[in-house]
Amino acid sequence: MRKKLRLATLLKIGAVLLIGSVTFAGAEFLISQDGLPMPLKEKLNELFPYLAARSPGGPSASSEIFLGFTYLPNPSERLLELTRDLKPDETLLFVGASDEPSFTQTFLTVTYINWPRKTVVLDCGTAASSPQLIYPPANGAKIKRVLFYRLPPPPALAQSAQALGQHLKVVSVSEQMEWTFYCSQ
Amino acid sequence: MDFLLLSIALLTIIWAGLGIALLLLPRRGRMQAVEWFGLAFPFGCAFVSLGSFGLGFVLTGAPFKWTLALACAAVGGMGLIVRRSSLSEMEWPSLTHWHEWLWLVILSLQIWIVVLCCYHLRMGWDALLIWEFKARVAFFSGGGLPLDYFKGPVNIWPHSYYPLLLPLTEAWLYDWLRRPDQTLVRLLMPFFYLSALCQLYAASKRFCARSWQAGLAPCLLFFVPLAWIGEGSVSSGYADFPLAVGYLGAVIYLAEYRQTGENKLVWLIGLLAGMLGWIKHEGLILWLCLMMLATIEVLRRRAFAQLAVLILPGTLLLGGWKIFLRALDAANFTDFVPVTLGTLRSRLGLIPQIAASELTELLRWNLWGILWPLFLGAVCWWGVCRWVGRSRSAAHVVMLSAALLPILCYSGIYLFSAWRVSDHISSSYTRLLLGVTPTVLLTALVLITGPRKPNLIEVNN
Repeated sequence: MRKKLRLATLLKIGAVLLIGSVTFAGAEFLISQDGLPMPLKEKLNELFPYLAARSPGGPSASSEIFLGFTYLPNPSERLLELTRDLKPDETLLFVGASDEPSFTQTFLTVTYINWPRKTVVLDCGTAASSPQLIYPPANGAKIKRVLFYRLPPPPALAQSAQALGQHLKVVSVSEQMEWTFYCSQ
Repeated sequence: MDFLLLSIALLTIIWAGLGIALLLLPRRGRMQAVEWFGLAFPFGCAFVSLGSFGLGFVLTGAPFKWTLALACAAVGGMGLIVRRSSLSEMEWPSLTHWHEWLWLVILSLQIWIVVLCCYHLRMGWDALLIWEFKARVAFFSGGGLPLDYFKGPVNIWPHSYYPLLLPLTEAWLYDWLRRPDQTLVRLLMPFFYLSALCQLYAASKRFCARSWQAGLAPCLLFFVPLAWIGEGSVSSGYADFPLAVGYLGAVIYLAEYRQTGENKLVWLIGLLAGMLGWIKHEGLILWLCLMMLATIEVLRRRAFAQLAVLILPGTLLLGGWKIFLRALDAANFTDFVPVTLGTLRSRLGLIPQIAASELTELLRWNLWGILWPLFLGAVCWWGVCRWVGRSRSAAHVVMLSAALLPILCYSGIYLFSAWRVSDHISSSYTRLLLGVTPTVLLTALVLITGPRKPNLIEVNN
């Protein structure tokens, strides 16, 4: 009787482990989506759109996705390489137009990556509106680098512009100009 | 190495929380280990974040880290020493019945899925650019947030006036990892989910009629998809789910206080409710709802001295935070117009539009799953039982009020929205409701399965 009970307990534990392993593996398969048939993947992502927001993993996993439009590997690290030398009184100027797609998301992500270095944001506006500073600079802060998002740099700066993927261009500046100058494409 | 350091950081949080929970839980028979663990994580996060906030102004770097780690160790140790007799009599979950095995497998599976979602999916907007950003700033500033962070227009977007429980807990992980890591930091979130499961289990065991029903509420939480996937969910890294965990804890002890009148529970209610405003702005509404319900109960019992215990933690924490922000002239930004009678009168016409927009959000079954049909069915069932005189448990009324009151308040605040109302509702309403989701689920289960007559504790009282 005792032997039977032990056997029954072992069988129960075995069944629990078996069912558990299969369901756990199934869950991992569905969420990681590796090797999942395309129609099932699409259906799953349609049902839970958030599942499509895949993360490649790593220290900058989420910000890399927000900079995905650059089509570059490790865009966060590349951006940092261009701004890492900024001193505490020097600022990065982000220039874009608010009617461009993902303008807000991009300048916020750039501000995030660039921290603790300062970022100032200039919205060159639409045809109907004039340029305005979204994040004004701190007193005495000097613009040292300018990042153009989906806008070409003014002709005077175009020569020294360095492309960071498709839609970002970085320029180092030494002279302090009027804000509107950076919108004079 | 990263996982080892992360584990140390998480263990310090849990250790401190275990000590605080031990000190606060009343002596009422054998203490449930599940309940203890359920409370430990939110209390641990509150301790670490408040400690970081205060200590960050005087210490930075290694002295900051080790002082806070020692404080965590001391609080945990103190709890264990003071309540060592409770520890030896602790009731651990048994695995003697088939349903206990079933619950174990289902709940472990849920946790596993939440861990996978946290690890594989990216953070949401707010999670990265508001909450985690603050953690990053704190880490680069040596542990706490510098005073400069709260000043100036440059900080308007990261909402420097937002409460700090989640960001400073994340920063604590970074202090141990010695770098920010957007993937590893999210392993903090499954602990909030685990805490919710533990609290639901312990509360169901107390309020449901049969022991096998204890696993129902935690299992059903998974059938509310927004709890674990989507904007605001536990895997998105937003502060909404931690808020829901804190609110659930406060409501459970309020319902128990209604049943037993045990004065030590008022401490728990006061602290858990006070913590809500330190997790998220909306926590203030939940705190007010809890204070209203708890004050009625305290006055009914003529336990006037308990009023101070109830109100003080939240008032000190929220008031102190507001005074701190005002003193620094911190940048503020509001989504609402001033609340006046004139504004209310001029906006009453918006009510049908608000109701329609909210109904649209409530009917998104891919977010809510079984929640609202279950809740509606439970309320109807409970109403019928009460009508025929079969349900008399006062705890049911308290839980139902705690589930409904915030929902009504949330509907009301859109009358004062500075946005276009439909946009405001579609961008925030589901996340607001997530704050009461575990409570609504527990209430539904308790209304359906709870005892039809006052239980033993009530009779003895």
